[in-house]
Amino acid sequence: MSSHIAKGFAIAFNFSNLGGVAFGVFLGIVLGAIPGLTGTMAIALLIPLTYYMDPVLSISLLIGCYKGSVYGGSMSAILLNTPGTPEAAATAFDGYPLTLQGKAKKALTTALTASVIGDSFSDLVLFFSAMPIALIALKIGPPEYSMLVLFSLTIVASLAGSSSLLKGMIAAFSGILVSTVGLDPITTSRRFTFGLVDLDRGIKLLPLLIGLLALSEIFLQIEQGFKRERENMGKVPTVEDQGEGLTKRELVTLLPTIFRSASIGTILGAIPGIGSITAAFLGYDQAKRSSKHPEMFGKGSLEGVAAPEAANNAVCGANLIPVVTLGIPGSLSAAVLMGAFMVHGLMPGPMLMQEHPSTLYALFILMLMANAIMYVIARPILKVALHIISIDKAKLFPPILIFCGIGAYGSDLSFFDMKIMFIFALVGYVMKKVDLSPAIFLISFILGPLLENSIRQSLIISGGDFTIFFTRPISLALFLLSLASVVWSLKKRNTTKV
Amino acid sequence: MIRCFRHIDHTSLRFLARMNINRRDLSNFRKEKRRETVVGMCVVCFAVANFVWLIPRFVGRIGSPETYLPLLATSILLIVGLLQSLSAFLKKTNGKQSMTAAPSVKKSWANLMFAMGISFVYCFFLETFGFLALTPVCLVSTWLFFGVRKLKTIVLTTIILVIGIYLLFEFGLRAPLPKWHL
Repeated sequence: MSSHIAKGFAIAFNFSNLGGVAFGVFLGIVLGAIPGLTGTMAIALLIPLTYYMDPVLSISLLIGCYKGSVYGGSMSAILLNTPGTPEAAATAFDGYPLTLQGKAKKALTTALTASVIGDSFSDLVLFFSAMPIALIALKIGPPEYSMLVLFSLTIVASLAGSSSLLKGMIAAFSGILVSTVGLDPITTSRRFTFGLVDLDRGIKLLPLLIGLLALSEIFLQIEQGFKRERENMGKVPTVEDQGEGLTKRELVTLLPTIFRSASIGTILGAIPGIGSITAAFLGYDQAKRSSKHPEMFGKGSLEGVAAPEAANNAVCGANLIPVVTLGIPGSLSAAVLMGAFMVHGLMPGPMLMQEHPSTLYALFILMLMANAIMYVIARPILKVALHIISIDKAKLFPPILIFCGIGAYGSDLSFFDMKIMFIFALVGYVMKKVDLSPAIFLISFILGPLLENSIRQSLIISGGDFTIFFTRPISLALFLLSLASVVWSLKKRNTTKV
Repeated sequence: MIRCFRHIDHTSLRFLARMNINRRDLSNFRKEKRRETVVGMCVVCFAVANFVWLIPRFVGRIGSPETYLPLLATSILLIVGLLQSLSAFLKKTNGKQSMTAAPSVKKSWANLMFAMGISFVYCFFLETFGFLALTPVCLVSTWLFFGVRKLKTIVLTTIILVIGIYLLFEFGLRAPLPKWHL
């Protein structure tokens, strides 16, 4: 392991990789700060550009962008009470009151420091836990793996399903059905290709990703109309009256809160289906419960800014634990990053740790470096934060529309991919309108082939006997857990209704 | 008959008014209920079409190994779709539930239709017109339609973007962009 880490350091520390991370972080902060543009959308648009780059450089750039965007979302939450990304919503509770008190700079630097510490904490957990978990994962057979995928799917569908379990299931199994398009992996017979040769290789991930996440979201934003965020707000600070930053003494008093929230974020980030929004709110809630001044929460408490920021950023590293060790994406951002791994020929899963350990350690090191870089480059951006977040969307969206098309074309130089991208943009738009989650659809689309391969392998082992899934203890336990997650979700929803 | 229905409607409205539910909430509730039922029915129709036509015609003989996953997914979709439409259809308001009244947001349908149209044209006709011809037209027309009126900014940004993307793809990424094919 130590030799792989040493090699990882050698790969990571070169000018282009560090430059790539810095560029990704910068882009992430800027795009995350603009309300309506999310980190996942930014990554989806960036993947085609990184298609021709070295895998370490491109994935570290994308991870940098993801990390930057999670922090960037807090800027507009603090300055305008409008979260740039959904996970920054809890930051606005205390960030905006601080801004109104003329302490915007203090709130922004608190958010930055908490984000960097929280993120570094979860990256370290990823760094040290990935190899042991992958070694355990290597020992499980196809029946256990298929049940593990099923378990992840049910958890994602029941927890991440925006309004109901049924809708989560509809999105999940539609994603699985779409993943079966193309040649059958074993018999190579055509499935749902409708005589189109372009569909033989199945629906490619990248056009689907861009259409479903980026273009459909742009359509929705356009439908909402172009209002400059700043026009809706009352008093907004100018750069001059943002006050002073976070002092060392304040930082020391905030450290317990930051580490508690970072632990919450790391644990929740490693569990499929929960994600950074829940982590941020739970971190905020726990900080309020354990604070000496809970009455200050909602009125401009620094703990109220540090806790959600540490928690939501801690999800970034932990999100990758199930991806690199089991090949299972637990959230939308993890699914998009997993897509980036796959586009570059690195198939996430336990074998990845065996086949490319140095590359993975290089990525982990670059993730840690991204945090340090974020701390340095975010400070000058704070000075121009207001200009970034109040950018006119009418000017911004036309180039993004064009970029979606070119991005879908550029990955494989295929016009067919552009058409697929457009179709999935419409699908994503309709899904969002009827409250079906495109995130669950995407995760299931990625998990579909894994589920199918493991089921088929299990059936080959058992000679077509389906009881193989219920006669092995781990497989049976995972199946029961899947059932339990569905039952628990139904029960939870019934209790919340009453 | 109509009077009878009117009477029922008025009675139910009075009853709802007693429970602090106004006409707008009721209308939103009905709209949502209808939408949820339609979603479920669409899923059921899709699943049935899959069973009777798509899977046998475009996948293989029902029961063969290549149909395992499509059949499994379709069966679950059928069940879930039925449950969805049934649960939406049987949904009742009991006054305790807070019915989510959709916030009245002024929607820009014209902008949306234009954006969809431009995306369609760009995705389906880039092959014919080429990057250098189609991109400036799409960019400028979208900006103008969205209400951006500073011509100098539009022209400059268009030139910078088109040349920037062209150089990036042609020379940076070595991925040739489509040329004019008319």
